[in-house]
Amino acid sequence: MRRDVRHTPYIWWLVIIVSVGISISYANTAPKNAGQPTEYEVKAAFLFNFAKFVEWPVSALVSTDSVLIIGVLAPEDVVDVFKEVIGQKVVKNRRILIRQYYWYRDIEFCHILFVGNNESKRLPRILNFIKNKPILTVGDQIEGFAEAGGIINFVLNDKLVNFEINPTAAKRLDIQISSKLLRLATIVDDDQEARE
Amino acid sequence: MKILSGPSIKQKLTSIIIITSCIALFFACLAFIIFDRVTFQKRLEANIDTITQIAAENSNASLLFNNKLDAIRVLESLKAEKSIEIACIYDSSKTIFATLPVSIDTTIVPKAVELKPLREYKHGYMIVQKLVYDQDKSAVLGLVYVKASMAIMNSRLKQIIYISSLFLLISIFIVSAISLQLQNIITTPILHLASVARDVSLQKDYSVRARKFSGDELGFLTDRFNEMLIQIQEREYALQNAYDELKTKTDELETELNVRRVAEQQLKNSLSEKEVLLREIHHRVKNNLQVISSLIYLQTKNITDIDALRMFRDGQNRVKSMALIHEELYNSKDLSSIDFGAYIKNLSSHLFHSYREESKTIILKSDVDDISLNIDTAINCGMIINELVSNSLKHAFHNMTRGTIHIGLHATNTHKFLMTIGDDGSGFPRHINFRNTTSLGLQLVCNLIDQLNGTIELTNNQGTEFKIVFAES
Repeated sequence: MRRDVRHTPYIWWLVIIVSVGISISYANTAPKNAGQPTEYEVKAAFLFNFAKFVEWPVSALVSTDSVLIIGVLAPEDVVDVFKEVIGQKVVKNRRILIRQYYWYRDIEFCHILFVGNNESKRLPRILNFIKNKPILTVGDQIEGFAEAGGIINFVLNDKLVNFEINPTAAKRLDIQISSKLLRLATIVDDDQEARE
Repeated sequence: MKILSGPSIKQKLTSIIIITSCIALFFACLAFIIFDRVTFQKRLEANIDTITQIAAENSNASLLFNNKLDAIRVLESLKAEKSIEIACIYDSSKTIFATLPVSIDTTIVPKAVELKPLREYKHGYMIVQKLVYDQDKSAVLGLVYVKASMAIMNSRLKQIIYISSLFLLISIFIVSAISLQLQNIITTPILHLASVARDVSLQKDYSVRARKFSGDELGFLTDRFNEMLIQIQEREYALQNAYDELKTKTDELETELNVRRVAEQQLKNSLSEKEVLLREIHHRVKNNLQVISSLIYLQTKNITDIDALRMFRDGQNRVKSMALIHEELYNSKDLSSIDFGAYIKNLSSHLFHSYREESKTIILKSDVDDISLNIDTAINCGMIINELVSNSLKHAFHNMTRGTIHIGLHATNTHKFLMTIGDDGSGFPRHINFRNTTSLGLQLVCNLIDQLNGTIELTNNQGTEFKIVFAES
């Protein structure tokens, strides 16, 4: 006991050092969690919320019945944020599954397809590939996304994440978007009907 | 209640109908007001509840996508319910997300709220809280807070009270108009009956009849009233007959009474005439006897024979005694009886004067009760006194210078009279029986006693005393 008492200051020093260390390590991640959410964290949450207000045709949910796949055509760091924010969540009794795609041939097996800004030039090809598939396409601030036949496109208004919806495209794919969601969005239309 | 004790049955009936109707209407209005208030309040509550619920349902997307503009739009839809003054949406961290009105002073709404459904009333306000759920009901996203003023209920209450009052006034007016008409059904027969009763009592005309209006109790009353009138009329008729009969009889009796009064007056007149006549007769008889007595006296002037003189004088005294009777009679009140005491005094003073002698002093002592005798008895008694006193004056006081003659007349207790005539002279001669003598005087006395059905006794003791007992004939 005496020896313990004699060594007590060292133990306290150790506790203080460890505590400071932990504090510093958390301080590095703190801005991410505690402060204002980052743009992609917000977009991740929006993606998750879109799933709540969208009804896919019955045929789209048969094959993979216990998961809801969010396909991502975007850089690695975006995928990581998505996985971190909504990777463990459940919607419509389905577990969210974030899948990063590298090949177009794989993209037809997802429910939601997030198309990153870097893919804007290949957009027509992507959309053409999944044409007539019941996939909710979400563009990341891609100019002319909805006009090209995409369904939802994120837009930044005064640093606030917002989105525009092309209900005609959704209707064409038999995807039902809740009026609540439509109310929040800027409604845009493509001229595909006219083209056809 | 003063109205109900008013003078007219019409007023009473109208008042009763109006008061009853007013009370019934008042309670109906009251019930309606209470019912309306309760249902209105329930409806208002349900309304606020429902639209708050709708707002909560609609605001989940706004909260999920952090869209305050949309949240404000949702809240603005609550403006449809005018009673809602303040509305607020809180997020899951219990802080204000959106308010209605948009630029509200945040001090008048709760800064933080419990995330739980609520409905409560505070100072005339209704506060409703509804939870905002996630689209799949898996989580609570926030809360909608609504504060609604219940003042609209008071304004509605005022409105309803105004309408009810107006309705009540119109109803009273209509009820008054209807009751004024309907009460005639009841009052007309009663008023008619009352006016007939008044006519009967004022004019005593029992021949009028009340008109029957219906077959109900009032009709029955009218019938009985008419029956009573008939009975009264019959009795009145009978009474009038009896009265007339009585009046006739009274008139007859009065006529008869007048006849009898006249007859009585005639009788009285006749009687007084007869009295005057009788008095006159007594006067004349007395005068005639006086004349006879005077004639006898005048004749004695020329007679020298002492016996003859004595006989004449006796005769004169006898006539005189009878004349005195008639004198007393016409002086008396009733002409049928005389005051016998006064008569005895007159008679004895006359006899004393007639038989007076210078040498003698004779005193008369009379002890006579106040007795009246009828004319026959009086004449007989007068004659007896005349004979016996004359006898005493002539024979009792020979050789005496003074003497006393006493006369007594008393009523006995057997409705008879005791007359005593006596003197204190020499006494009646013992050898003479006064009942059987030649003396005319004593013979007269005995005859007169017989006529009176009386008795006579002689006491010859220190003088002479005759006791005569008789009854009035």
